[in-house]
Amino acid sequence: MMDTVETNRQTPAEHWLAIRPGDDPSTCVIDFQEHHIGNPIIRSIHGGVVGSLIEYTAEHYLGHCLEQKNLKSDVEIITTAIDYLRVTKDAPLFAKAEIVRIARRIAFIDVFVWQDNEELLVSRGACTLRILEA
Amino acid sequence: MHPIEMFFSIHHPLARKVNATFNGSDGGTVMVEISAAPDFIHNVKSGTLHSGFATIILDSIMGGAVMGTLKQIVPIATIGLSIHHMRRPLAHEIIRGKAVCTGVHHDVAYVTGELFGENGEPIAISSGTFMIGTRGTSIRDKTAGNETGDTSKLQESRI
Repeated sequence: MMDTVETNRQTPAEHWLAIRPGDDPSTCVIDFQEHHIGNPIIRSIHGGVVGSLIEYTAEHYLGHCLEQKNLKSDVEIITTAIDYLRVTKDAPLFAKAEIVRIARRIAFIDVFVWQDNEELLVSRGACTLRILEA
Repeated sequence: MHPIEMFFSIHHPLARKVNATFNGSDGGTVMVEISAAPDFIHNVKSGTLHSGFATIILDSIMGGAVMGTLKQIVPIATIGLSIHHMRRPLAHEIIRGKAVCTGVHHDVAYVTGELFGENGEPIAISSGTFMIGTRGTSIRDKTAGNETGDTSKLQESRI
């Protein structure tokens, strides 16, 4: 089964995550929602929501890069390795993807996540994705 | 009541989204059965969920496995999580999950997790590390008052 990132219409997952593309094709944003809370006491965001942002951003940017090469492909996350660097808070999450390598069938993408300041990362993820011919 | 059941109680806004049962959970082993929430559908045509659903469930039950090993519940935080996604579950599919806290060394808990479909077909496997005793208030003495079901103080903080 392949993930299809729909750009014109929100999927239920995009709606629940309140996720949207950023100004740059390599960036995505999660607008904080109450149901994103993982720890109600310190009001930090659930680690799985941060992970979802990492995976979504990697898929989104790889999709964009393949489009730029006129390749009609679907992409699917194979593996994500996430480091949780700092505590999060009940505020928007920003993510930026960086291509490590795009091969014929596999791509490697790093994603960096922050809140207040891009210099103060809250998380980073290394994603491996499968490129599938549409 | 296992700590993970408290996390997934209706009091928690995220956990409220998934209808989970925890039969067989004991100490450092968490067993869960979940109906895949349609809120996470990402491929509308096929009705499959986004990989983030598995990520959210695995982070939750693996943290629960760590909490189940603690004599006194203290804040914990995910340090690292590595997930292999094999297939995307369908909405409303029954998913079985298992998380095991394999060991604790120098306040770091080492945990594995896996999700399977009803027919035993794997959905995702993972391993993770959690820091035990992060900043925050100790929330619940396991030896006193652990049957109160008070989830308002349950917490999982980051480092």
